[in-house]
Amino acid sequence: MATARADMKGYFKQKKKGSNAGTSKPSSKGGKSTAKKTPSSSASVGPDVVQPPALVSHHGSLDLQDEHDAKEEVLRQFDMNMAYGPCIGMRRLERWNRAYKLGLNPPKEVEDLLKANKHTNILPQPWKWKKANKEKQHFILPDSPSHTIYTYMSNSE
Amino acid sequence: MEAMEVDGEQPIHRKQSNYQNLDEVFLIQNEVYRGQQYSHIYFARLHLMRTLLHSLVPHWKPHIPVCTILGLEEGQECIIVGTLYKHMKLKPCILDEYAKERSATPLVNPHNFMHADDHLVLEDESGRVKLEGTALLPSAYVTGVVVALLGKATGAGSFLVQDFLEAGLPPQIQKLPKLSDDKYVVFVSGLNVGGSTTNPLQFQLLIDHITGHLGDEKNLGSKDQSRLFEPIKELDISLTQIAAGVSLDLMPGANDPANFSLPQQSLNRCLFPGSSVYNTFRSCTNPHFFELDNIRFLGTSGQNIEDLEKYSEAKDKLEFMERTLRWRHIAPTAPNTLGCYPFTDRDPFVLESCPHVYFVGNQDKYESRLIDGPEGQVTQLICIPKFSETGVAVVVRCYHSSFFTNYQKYGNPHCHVKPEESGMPYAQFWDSIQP
Repeated sequence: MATARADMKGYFKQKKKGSNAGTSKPSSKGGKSTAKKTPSSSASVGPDVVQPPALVSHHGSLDLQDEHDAKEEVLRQFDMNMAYGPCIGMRRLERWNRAYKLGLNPPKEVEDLLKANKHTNILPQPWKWKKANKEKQHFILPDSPSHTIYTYMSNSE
Repeated sequence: MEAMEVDGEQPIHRKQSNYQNLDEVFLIQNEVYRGQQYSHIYFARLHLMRTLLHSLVPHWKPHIPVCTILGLEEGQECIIVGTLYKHMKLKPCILDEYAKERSATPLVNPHNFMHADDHLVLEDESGRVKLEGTALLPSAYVTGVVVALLGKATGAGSFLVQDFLEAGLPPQIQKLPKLSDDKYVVFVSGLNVGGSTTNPLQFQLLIDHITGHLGDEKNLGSKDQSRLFEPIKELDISLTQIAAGVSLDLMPGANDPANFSLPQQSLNRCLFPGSSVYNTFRSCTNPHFFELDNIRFLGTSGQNIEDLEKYSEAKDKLEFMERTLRWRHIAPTAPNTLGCYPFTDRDPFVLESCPHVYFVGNQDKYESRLIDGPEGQVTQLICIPKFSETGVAVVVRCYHSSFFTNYQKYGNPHCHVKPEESGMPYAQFWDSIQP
């Protein structure tokens, strides 16, 4: 089974230094912060305590800055495209190869980007991406015929 | 090749066959597990089956559009393609253990979880929709089957099914070849070697019969008895006797020391130091797919059919087997209720070609039927009973372009005639196995 990852922070209520651990929305001022924004209407579980140092799996990375450039944006669009199947749990290049093998004609541009920049061939973690602008994020749809549905919602601030 | 003398007559040579193992698709050793979940295998299955169904839809209903589930419009007749999900009230759910209010544990029937209130839901990447109508009976379907449905969306947000299309039997790569000699394939399953109620004599009789040593008392003398303290060693001794004379394929089953989830990988050769020396001995995967003289055999050790029996109903086991062929998927309930490896880019249980012989082991009784498909496919379905309980092995005689399937019961004095007693030469004895 997957090890605990840094992304689990998104499910727990974060406590910023100096603020009370309550239901108040954290402020969103400034582009960089060391604490993640708490999605106000997400499914939160877990105790309201200061988070211990993040547990990082050997595939994950602490994405504190979440600055991304145009290349990463292209890759994220590829990740989110439902036509190529679920993106979670697969490295991007593997997913591209699968799409190619199944005859889905994935864009060559994405393959070139992934092969040229090996560090972008990661396991995508969409729950960590900040919104580019203040829009409602779309639903991440259930990708298996099971009863549990993960819904990730975030209000615009 | 084994020469065998029968009372001074000409030695009889064992016939050879061209064998080709096609189990590559079931191997896991090249897969890498990175913590992925089962969404990928479902995606691969949906994509493969949907591409296929899209090619069949124009012949089925030429002028009706195909749309996605989220694109359904109320009242408009259209076709949707997706994976079935069967919502079952009685299916055990892990979340029940965490329910706040727990009444006395309801009696769960471990054999079948069906209920009159079960309903079907169709799902594709865009969404899911509840299915209504009588065209698709929930009792005959299970989660994981991919179908195309004709109907219309109702105001209540469900889909009224008017007609359905299954993938149907896959193409058969080649017609059943005409064999010049008759050849026999013996299937045995459920040996339960070392079990408390297992009678080793039955299996020994079978071995003697197959290897042509019937009636020979030299094989299992009293000195071997003392070594029979571990079932696997006992099995190896028996298999060595078989492998010495005949080609032998061994498949793992649910209670064997192999991995739990499908596809089960082959039992390690180190477990069989005696028999693995022979090149006639092959340890194979479950499911097992092979070709003998251009006849294709596909079979499992029973887990796929057992699981279908828990979540749906049919008039007999052969009907479950026929359904899996018509759905083009030998284990549709995997990974929902049947353990399965989380493949990322393929689904090895989707059938690409139609086998000539489709067998399932560890069943309660011997059953067999021939089915055919619209493009001239012909498949012999065989249920192989548990040998430890019934003492029955199945013999398939491949002669000219047809099969004769029959069973041999070992240990029952009424059904078994030794060739020496009948006075017939050995080859003619085999002929006496009538269809």
